[in-house]
Parts: sequence; C-alpha cells; structure tokens
Amino acid sequence: MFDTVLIANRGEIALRILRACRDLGLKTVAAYSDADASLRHVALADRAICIGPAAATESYLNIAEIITAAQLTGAGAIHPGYGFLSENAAFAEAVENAGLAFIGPSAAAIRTMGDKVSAKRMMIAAGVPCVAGSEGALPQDEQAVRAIAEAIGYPVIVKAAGGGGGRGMRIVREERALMEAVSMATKEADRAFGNPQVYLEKFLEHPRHIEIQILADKHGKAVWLGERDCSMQRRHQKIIEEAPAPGIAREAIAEIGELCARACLTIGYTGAGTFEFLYEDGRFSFIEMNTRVQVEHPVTELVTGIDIVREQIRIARGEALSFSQQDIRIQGHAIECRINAEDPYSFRPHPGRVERWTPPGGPGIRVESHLYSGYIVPPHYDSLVAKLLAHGATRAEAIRRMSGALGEMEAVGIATNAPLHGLLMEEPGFAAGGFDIHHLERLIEGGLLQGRGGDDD
Amino acid sequence: MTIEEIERLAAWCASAGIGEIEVSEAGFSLRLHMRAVVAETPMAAVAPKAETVFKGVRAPGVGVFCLDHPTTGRPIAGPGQVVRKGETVGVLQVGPCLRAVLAPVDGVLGAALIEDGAVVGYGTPLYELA
Repeated sequence: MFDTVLIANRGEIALRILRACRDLGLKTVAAYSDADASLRHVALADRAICIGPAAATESYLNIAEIITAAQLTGAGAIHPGYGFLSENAAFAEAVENAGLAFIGPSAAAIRTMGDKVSAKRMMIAAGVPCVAGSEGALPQDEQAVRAIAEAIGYPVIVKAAGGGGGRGMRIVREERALMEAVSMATKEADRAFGNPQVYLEKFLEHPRHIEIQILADKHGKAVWLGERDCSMQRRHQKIIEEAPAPGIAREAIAEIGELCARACLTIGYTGAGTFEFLYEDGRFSFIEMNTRVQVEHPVTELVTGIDIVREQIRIARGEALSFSQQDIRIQGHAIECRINAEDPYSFRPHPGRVERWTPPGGPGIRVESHLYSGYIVPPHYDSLVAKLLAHGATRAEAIRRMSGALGEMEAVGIATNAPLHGLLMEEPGFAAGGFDIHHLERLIEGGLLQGRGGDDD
Repeated sequence: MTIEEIERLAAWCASAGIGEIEVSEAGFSLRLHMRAVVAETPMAAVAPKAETVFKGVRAPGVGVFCLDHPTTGRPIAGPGQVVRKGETVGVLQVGPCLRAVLAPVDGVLGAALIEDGAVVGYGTPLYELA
C-alpha cells in the first residue's frame, strides 16, 4: 500500500490534500509548474518537483510528465484534486497502468459518468430521476428530432454529450428554431469536445442547484453525506454554496440521497463524488455527476464532521468506510464564499502581489487558502485564491459569521470579490434562501452593481 | 532503406544523443553504432551579456540526470567543452527512454551542477554555460 502521495494540482486544494495526507501519516510530493514554485504546499511537501512550464497544457495537464514524476519520487498514488486531470479517464487509466493508485474512481467509472448520455442512461437504470429528454444522442433524421422535442414539450435545451460548464448548450422555445439550434450545437460540440453528439432535455425555467455528496468504498458500502445548495451562480460558475438546502424537506433529501448511494453500487463507483440535480416544483432532476472532490466539499465537512479528502485517500488505500449511514448527522448550517482574485464588480481577473494577507477567524470560521503576505498570484490559472466558510447553529448565525469574516479578511495588493459577497450576505433574497440559479444574474441586471464600476464594459 | 534515409536516421540519433539503434523490416535489418561526436570550435566567442537569471543548461523535463551515456558508458560532455546551441550535453533517463539535454546557446560548459543519477524536474539548472 502506498505511503507517499503525489499532488497533481495547485493552490488551495493542493494544500488541502497535503494536510489530509499529513493527518494520515502519509508523505507528499508537490508536482508544480514553473509559475508555482512559491506555492505554500510546495514549501510544506516532503518533496517537490517541477513538471513543466506555466501553461497548464504543458504541466498540470501533462499526463506523461506527472506519472514520471510520481515514479521517480517514489510516490505510490496520485491525487488529482479538482479541475485539470481530475475527471480525465485516460489519465486515471495511465495512472493505473503505471502501477500507481489513482485517488478517485476507476477509469471506467469516470468514462461512463463523463459522457452525459451514458451517465443519464445509468441513472435511469438506477432509478434516479432525470430531466425529461431524448433517450440518448439525437438521431440524424429531422422528423424524428422534431417528434422528440414535441414529446418533451417546449422550451427544450440542446446539450453536448461530452460537454459541461454551460458550453455547447442552446435553449429552444419554439419548433421553428429547433433544427438550427441542433446543428449549431453539434458543430460547437465537435469543435469544443471532439464529440459531435447532442441530446435534448426539457428546459427548466427556475431551478435550484442541489447536489448530493457521496462516499463509496471498495467493499460495497456507499453513503450519502447530505446535500449542498449551490444556486448562487454567475455564468454557470458557483460562487456561494451552503448546506443544508433551505426549505426542502429532510425526507425528500433522504430519498434522493439513498438513490444516489445505491447508484454508486450499480455503477461500480468508488471514492468521493457528487450527483448534481436541478430542483424545481418539488422535483429533483439529475443533470450530471462530478467524479472528484469538489471545491465546495468543506461545506459538507462542517455540517457532518467528516473529512472528505481523508476518506477519499483511505478508500484509495482499500480501507473500508469507518462509519455507516446511521452515524451521519447534519449539525447546524454552513456557508462557503469563493474568494476570487478579480474586480468584485467588473469580474475582471486581478492577479498580482499580495502585500498583506490577513485571514479572518473566530468561532465557526474556516479558511481554505494558499495565500500569504508577499505571495504573487500568477495570471495563468483559475482566480480562486481562498474559500471562506462559516458554520453556525442556524442559517442566520452562519450568515452573520460570514459577514463578519468578509469584513475581517484583508488581501492588500490584489482585488477580490469579497465586497460582492458582503453585499449578497445582506441581500433579502439570499437572506430568505431558496432562490433559483438565475438569482444573481437577475440582481446584476436589476442594478446591484450600478455605480460601482461594474457596468463600464 | 536508402542511403539518404540512413544518413537522416544517423543525424537524428546524433542530435538526440542516441548511441545505438537497431531497425528491422522484412528482409532488412540495420544497426547503427554512433561514435561520440567532437564538437567543432565556434568561429568567434559569444559576446557576454548582462545576466540576471540563470542562462546555463536546464533540464527539459522530469528524469534521472546522466553524466555518462547509459548505453556507451562514455561521458556525454565535460567541463570546458565548447558547445553549440542545440548540441546534446547530457541525457535524462525516463524508464527505458532517454531524453536529450540540449545547450540553449553556444558556449563553454562549466562543471555539472547536479550529481549523476539525481532526479531532476523541469528547469533544474544542470550546467553553467559561459
């Protein structure tokens, strides 16, 4: 069994993985790019090795170089974090073939769940509710496509089988726009994902984004760790997440949670994972599965007391889950704000030198960040620089604690979106809870940022 | 295989620092054994420039740094040797594969900065180049 883990990621998640390894008594190797030598986890790891230039395609996405680095440094396992190669089945396969442990599900499970059409088929077979839509990819025949859309009922959405993150999607509200949308989406999907297959789904107008966290070991045991509400989004990017989801009956969550845990056994899924759902009119509809640890996993850790990254590594070591479904209790309420190095109102990235970093603290506050005073945020990667989390006995208490933490936090030298989060903590819709995924965009259109320098482009 | 193709193959092997290669096709087999090439002396010394960052030879990737060529056992380059831009001055061993370490500019090689057999990463300084 492995005693050394190579961390094939950067930033806050690399540090998070390092800490989990340390708690388990495992050694760590930081595999970093030329632009990331000054990262905190590179300094803290037992060993560090530069795997390529700043461009992610030549470093964090370079499968051969990462595997070589693991082999030459004596690492027996690779943790991919999130983003980069974390959901790349070819990478998981290459790691397995090199005789190393991939900290995540099998390559086969990633492949099945990565293709949206096959994932949906698996979910239907496992009894998980899905959005009404075409059975698999759309046929060539125009009449058949029209008939499918008619049966689903307008509005419909055309999606790429190999897609994600909102790309390659088109909303169609009436029949005469259908065929053009399908052909555009097909071309876009082919270009962007190398897979021209598209499918149709009913378009939900006002859904919430609710997701179920699962953990499954290699001994046939799978549990669900409650839900997260990630409806505060801008351009399909989550910015605030919370648990539990306000206003949804615990019985309804338990029912969908049980289905997800059972689906893991059907798929042969092991490790940590997330089933994402749209929730509208009291109904859950599966949209996709994330076969990795998620940015927002600490929200669930705060309300359950379970260290998800540690469990992920334990599962990869072949250990059985040390708790059962009955042991999992949801305690209080947790909120996460994603702190990005960007202008809070124009959303333009703002990398640079952090002259002074003062993280917040106090009861119920947790900070996941790789920042330190003097650190230079490079321009090459995602702008996430910190995650602030607040836990309280009630949602109102968690919000108050978060407001305080946002006010305390100081990142002098770079701009962050903390002021926007501060506004949202005070916003009546957020305070009420239960808003849909278009809430933030509606607020922005309604003038939330006006006079703050956000509408100058 | 034509003579031109063999010449081209030999040139590739020389530039990649490959010592020996065997090629076989139906009814044909070829074995090339490369001799260490002595570098030509450059026509004029390169004018020294103001340097703030390391301008010597860096590792092109992850691998085990070899001072001696693993197949010939002979040193690939030595201190004081005059090298040209693009010339092989060392190799990185990665499992069964060898990767050439190339001189980024013309110059005179200094002593190796890394021990033979050490694991290096992308950009690790390997030789000073004056």
